[in-house]
Amino acid sequence: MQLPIMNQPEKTRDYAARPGMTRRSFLRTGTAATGAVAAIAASLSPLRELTDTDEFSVDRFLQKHYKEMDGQDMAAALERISNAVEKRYEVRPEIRDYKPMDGVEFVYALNLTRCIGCRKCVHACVEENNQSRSPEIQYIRVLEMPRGTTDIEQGNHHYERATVPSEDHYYMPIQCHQCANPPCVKVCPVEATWQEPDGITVIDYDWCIGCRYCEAACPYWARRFNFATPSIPKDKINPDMSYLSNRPREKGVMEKCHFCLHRTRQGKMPACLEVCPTGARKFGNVLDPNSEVRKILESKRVFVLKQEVGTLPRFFYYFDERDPINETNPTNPVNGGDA
Amino acid sequence: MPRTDENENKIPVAGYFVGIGFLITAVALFMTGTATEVPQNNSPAVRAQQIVPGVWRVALTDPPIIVLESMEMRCNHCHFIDMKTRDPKRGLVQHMDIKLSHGSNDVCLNCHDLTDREKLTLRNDETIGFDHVEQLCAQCHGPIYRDWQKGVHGKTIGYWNTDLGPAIKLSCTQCHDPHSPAYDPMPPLPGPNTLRMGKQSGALDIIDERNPLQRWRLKEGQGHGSDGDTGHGGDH
Repeated sequence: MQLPIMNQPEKTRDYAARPGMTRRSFLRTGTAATGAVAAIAASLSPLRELTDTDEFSVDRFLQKHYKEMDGQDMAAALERISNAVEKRYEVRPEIRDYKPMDGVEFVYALNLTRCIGCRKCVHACVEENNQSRSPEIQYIRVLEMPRGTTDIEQGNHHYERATVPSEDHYYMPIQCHQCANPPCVKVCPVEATWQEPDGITVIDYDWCIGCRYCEAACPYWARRFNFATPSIPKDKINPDMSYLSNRPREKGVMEKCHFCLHRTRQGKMPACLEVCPTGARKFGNVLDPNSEVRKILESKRVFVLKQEVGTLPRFFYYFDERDPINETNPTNPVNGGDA
Repeated sequence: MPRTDENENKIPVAGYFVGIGFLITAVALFMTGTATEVPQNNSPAVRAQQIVPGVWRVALTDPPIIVLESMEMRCNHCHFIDMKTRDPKRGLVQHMDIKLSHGSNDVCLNCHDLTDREKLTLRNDETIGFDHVEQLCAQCHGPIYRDWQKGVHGKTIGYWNTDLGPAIKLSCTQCHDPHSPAYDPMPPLPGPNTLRMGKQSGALDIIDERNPLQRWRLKEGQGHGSDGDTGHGGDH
C-alpha cells in the first residue's frame, strides 16, 4: 500500500500517467541538455584554430601506404602535395619520387681529424631539407668533445666560441646513421618508416602517426618530432623536393636525415658534404670498389658509434694517423710538418 | 512504495550536479582554448653567404695577370730583370700582401721557378704549371698526397656516380692557401636552439635542474663555463 504524501493527491506521484512537466524536471533536464550541448561545442572548439594548412583532405585521408601506391596513385599524391605546398608557401615545387638504384648501398664516412666544428653542415642541411626554422629542427648535431675520450656523455652541443676549432677539443657531428639493423624501424607500429634497398631508412610523412616510438628507440638521437606546425620563410623553400625526403612536413610527424635522398639518388653528393670547408665528409656507394668510401674503409682506422648496441650503422668515423691540429701549434716553429 | 520516493528524491540532485559540471567544463574549455605556446626560435639567422657549397677558395690555375694602366702585366714582365736572388731569405719589397706561413718552407724559390716565374719548380728542376700544383705539394706531403689520390683526403663535389655527372676533385690550393696552408680558425655558426636541446623562450626558460633541456644552462650559471657542459645524447 502506498502512503499518501502530505497535501498532494496520490495520482500526481504517478510519473507515467503525468502528461506535463514540473518546474523541477524542466530545470533538471534543461541544465543537463544545455551542459551537454556546450560540452560538445567545447570539444569541437580546437577546430577554431584550424588554418588552411591543417585543412582536412579526403585525398590525403584515403591515400595508400607508400609501398602500396602505383604510379597513378603516386602522381595524384604528388599533385596534391604540390598544390598544398604552393598554397602555403607560394612556391611551385618540383616533387618527385626517386627510387633506389640497383647495386647501390650508400655509406657515409667522416674524418674526425679534419672536422673543425664550424656547423656549416648543420645549417646547409636545414636549408636543403626545408626544416622548420621555428621551432628549430636540425638533423645534424655537432658535439665538442674533450681530447682523449670518445665518451659522448662528455660532449657539448652548445659550444659558443669566437673561433673554432678549440685546441683542446675535437668535433663529432652526429646524424642518422642509416643502420643496417635499425631499431627505429622495428618499433614503428604502423610501418611508416622502413629501410630501402640502398640503405636509407625513410619515413612516409603521410603515414606517420607521431607516436615517437622511433625517437625513443634510436640510440643516436637522430629522429626529430614536429611538435608544432613547421615554419619556413617562403623565400627559403627549396623547391627541389621528393616524397620521401625534403617535402614540407606537417605538425605531429617524425623526420630525420635521409642522406639527401633527392640528391643522392640522382647521383649527387649530399648538401652537408658539399658545404664542408675541410673535406671531412665523404659519401658514396660502398659496393663500388673504386669509391672514396670504399677506399676509406679499406685504408683508414674506422669506427662506428655505439658499436655494442648492434645497429650496424652505415655512418663511419675515421681519423688520420697524424693530428694536424697539434701540428699547427703556434709554439712549434715547424708549422705543418711533413704530413 | 516508499523506496520509489527515496529514489525520486535523489536523482534530481545528481542531475543538477552533472549539468552544472558540464557547464563549468564547457566554459573552462572555451575560455582557455587548446593552443599551447610553442617556444619560438630566437637564434641569429644564418646568412646564405655563410653556407655556400662547393669550392672553399679560388685557386690560380694560370699565373695572374695584372692590368696596370690598361697594360697587361704578367709575372715575367718584371721578373726578367732579377733572375738571381741575392739573399733567398731577404724581406719582401713587393708582394707585401702575401703572408708566408708554411713552416720551414719559407723561401719563394722552393716552389716558384727561378727563370720562369709563371711556372712552379719541382726538386728535379722540372717546371709545372699552376694547374698541376699537387705534384709540387706531393714532394713533401707524401702520405697526404697518397690519401688525396684515393679520394680519402680532400673534397670531392658534384656527383658520386660519375655515370650521371662529373665528380669534381678539388686540388690542394682549392682548399689551402699555398703560402699559409693551415686553415685559419673560423667563427662557428649558431648552435642548436631546438626544442629538445634548450635555449628557446617561453616555458623552457625556467632554469631548473629537473629540466633536462636546461641542465647545461644551470651549469653555466654556476660558473663552470661552457667547457664542462655535457651534451644530452643520453636524454631519450
